[in-house]
Amino acid sequence: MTNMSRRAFTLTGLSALATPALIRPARAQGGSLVAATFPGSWEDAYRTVLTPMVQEAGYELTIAPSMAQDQIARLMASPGQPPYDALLVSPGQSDILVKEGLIEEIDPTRLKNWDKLTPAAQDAWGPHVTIEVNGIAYNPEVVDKPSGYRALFEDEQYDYNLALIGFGSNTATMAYTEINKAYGGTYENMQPVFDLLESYLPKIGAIATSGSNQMTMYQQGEIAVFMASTGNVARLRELGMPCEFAHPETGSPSVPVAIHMVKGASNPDAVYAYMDAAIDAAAQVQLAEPPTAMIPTNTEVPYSEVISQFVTPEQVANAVYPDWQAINEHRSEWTETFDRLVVR
Amino acid sequence: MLDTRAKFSTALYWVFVWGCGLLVLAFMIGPILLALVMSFNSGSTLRFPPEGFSLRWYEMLFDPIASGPIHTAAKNSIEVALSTVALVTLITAPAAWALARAPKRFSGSVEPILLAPLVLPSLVYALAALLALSLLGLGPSFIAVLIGHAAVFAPLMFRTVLGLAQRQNPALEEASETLGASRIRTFLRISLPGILPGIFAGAFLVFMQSLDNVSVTLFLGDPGRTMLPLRLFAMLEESLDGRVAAVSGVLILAAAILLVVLQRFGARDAR
Amino acid sequence: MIRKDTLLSWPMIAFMVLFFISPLLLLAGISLRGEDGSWGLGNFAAFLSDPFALGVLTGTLGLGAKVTAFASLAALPLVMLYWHSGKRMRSVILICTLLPMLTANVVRTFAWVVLLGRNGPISQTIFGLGLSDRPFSLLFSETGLIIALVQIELPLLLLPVFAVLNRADRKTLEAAEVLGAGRWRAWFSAIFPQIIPAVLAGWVLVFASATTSYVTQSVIGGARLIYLPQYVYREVGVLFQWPMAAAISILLLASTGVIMLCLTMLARHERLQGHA
Repeated sequence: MTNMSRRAFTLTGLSALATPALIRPARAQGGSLVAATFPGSWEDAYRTVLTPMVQEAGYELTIAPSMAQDQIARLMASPGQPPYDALLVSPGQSDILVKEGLIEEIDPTRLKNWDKLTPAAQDAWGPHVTIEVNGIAYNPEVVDKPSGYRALFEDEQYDYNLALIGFGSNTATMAYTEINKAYGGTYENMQPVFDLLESYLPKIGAIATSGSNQMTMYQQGEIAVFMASTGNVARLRELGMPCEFAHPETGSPSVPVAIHMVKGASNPDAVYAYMDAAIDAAAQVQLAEPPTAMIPTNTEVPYSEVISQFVTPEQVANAVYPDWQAINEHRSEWTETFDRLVVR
Repeated sequence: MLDTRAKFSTALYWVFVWGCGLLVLAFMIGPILLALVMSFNSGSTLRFPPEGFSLRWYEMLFDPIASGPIHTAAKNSIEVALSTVALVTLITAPAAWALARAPKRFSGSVEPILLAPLVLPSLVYALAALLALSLLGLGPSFIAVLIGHAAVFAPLMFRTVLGLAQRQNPALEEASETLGASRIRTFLRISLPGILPGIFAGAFLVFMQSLDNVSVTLFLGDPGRTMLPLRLFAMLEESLDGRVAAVSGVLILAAAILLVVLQRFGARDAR
Repeated sequence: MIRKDTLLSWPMIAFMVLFFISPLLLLAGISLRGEDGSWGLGNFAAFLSDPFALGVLTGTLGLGAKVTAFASLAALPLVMLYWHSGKRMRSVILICTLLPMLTANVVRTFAWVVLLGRNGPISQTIFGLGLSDRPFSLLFSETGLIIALVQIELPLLLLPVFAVLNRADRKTLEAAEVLGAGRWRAWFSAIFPQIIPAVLAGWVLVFASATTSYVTQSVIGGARLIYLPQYVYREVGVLFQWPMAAAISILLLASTGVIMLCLTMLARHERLQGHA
């Protein structure tokens, strides 16, 4: 594994050297585009891996780091003047974008790599670039491997070690709807999970402000268990933290991440070039390595060693895909309820 | 009897003044020293207590490949901060100088407008400015951040310059003019040197605040240009990356050096 | 109309009116817009009639009050020390005061995350001394947030007071002491009245800064403590309710504004008394 990651590092290092993005790039002949990506390791990986590929296609790619919610907020704030040409979001946000008419359907014939995608990744609103498989991250030096969601709330060893976050996060929202199901609830009736949370709150390790905030808490030793994606676990290991991934007993809720074209994008050709680069086998091979360890959607890309430690292609195929339409219908009301519940 | 009570009271006074006073002083700079100590941590993440001494985070921070995006962000932020200082100086210094000489009624009614940003939350302003921008059909951009920062931080320089300008003796200028010196010459030879320390102090404050601002930068900034504070917070939140501590070290050092230089400058001028 | 001697101040006045005041007026306008497109005070009514939201408002003002109070307590001995110090010590104190103000937000926040954590020095010391039966975390607690905010805002209170002390006359204190007043009495009767206007000015800055420090509130305070700035941000970033966010911002402005106005008037009043 160390060998692999070192190679990946030199690879990305080399491509960074080849990237004139550090100095201001000369205007590429085909024009430019601004693409939003999640801040942090996503941002760095996309910048180092995709910028040179898009450049080769003749376009200048600017990566703009922003959380999915902030991307939408900014789009809504500047109608007619979209600050981005391409977005990077999950279905939870895609639905909102479609409903608000902020993104466009794409023309698959414009993408060379379209046919190489898994069928599930061939989305009319834009290709899926990866799938995040979610479960439970835990510190094996502090607690035993949890058998699933129920154990976290019922086994005493997890008391004061568990972190939770609000419904603003996709990972958390999916975990809550699954926990709710495990305790007999439905999308229409979330009371079971809220009752559970209310009685559990005195024993909680922390309510973090965001998904990434939990990673900080984990490194500080504030917490030892949180709802995470395989990518989060890979990242923590890369930082030298002991960290393992546990699949919940009810199946691992999974969520694809897609690139969308913003309605009124200044340069659709550039957006297509960017999409094509993101689903290209060469790019996904690099992105499947740490620190990003993204699960590929291109069928030609094998699961990297890190990814294989967490999931198999069969597990991904059988993962739980939540009903985002049902979730979005209730999401703001759940957010309210959760916030009011946890505020001291 | 009375005497011992008085002695006791005096002793208590000095214990309070020196003991508690030094304690508060330690409380104020303790966190900064801690950040410095953590930046020399040799562990792979920023856990407390630090594991040992190393310069690895500084090496990594100055590595152009590993930390390229941080360098770009720093460059972008410094560009904005310097432009903000230039713009603020251009509009603020003449205004403060003029208002120090204007009739009390006029300056009294204008000053609250010019000082308001000091006490208004910059998050609220950022929100308002973004709304105004979108109403004009404009998006976030470099110019928008520049104007936003200038509007929010101009009062810092206004105050430092106004303080000095008010202490200047207008008689000196009048004397210079009656002796036949031109207005411009009078301003350059008599007025400007007097307010220059205020301009420098103000420029320093504006520069540091602009470099550090999160909310205005977040709302008004061109999303394609990463800015340093946003980048640092992403690093702090996501990974407790040791480079956050190393950046802290660099920033603290920069602030300390500038501060000492400014003190020297101010002191020499006062003489 | 424009007087010649005020000519040079007009560019700045125009700039501030155009780029600072008018966006805020626009914000006030948008806050009057209802969800259905109607105009009125609906957003304000909705906020003020919701006990949770009202709790957030009073919690925010309470936070400002607590930070101001504790900062004042902490400032007192240091101000007295400054008064008694010689030139060299004064400049040491001054630099130690300016340094935290000039260090980046991320540095201060990061340091407090480490200091207040379960494995941080505070928790470990108290646990080590046997005063607590297990390590505890002050992160995500109001106590921790107040401690951090006091450290961060203290310079705002100290600097105006130091400026006054620099100009104050040492002889007044000596005179009081000669007249036989004890050290305490002499300080509080001769020096303290002189710094009151500066203290009130400092309070305004500390209060305004503590109630609106979005970053510190969210990183140190965490998700279980919600203050108005986070509430505003959530309306925009999660719920996309711009008019509501605008209304809350206006309420934040208005409530801090009223408190500041009171303090400013008090300062004027005290100054008049001082002259009498």
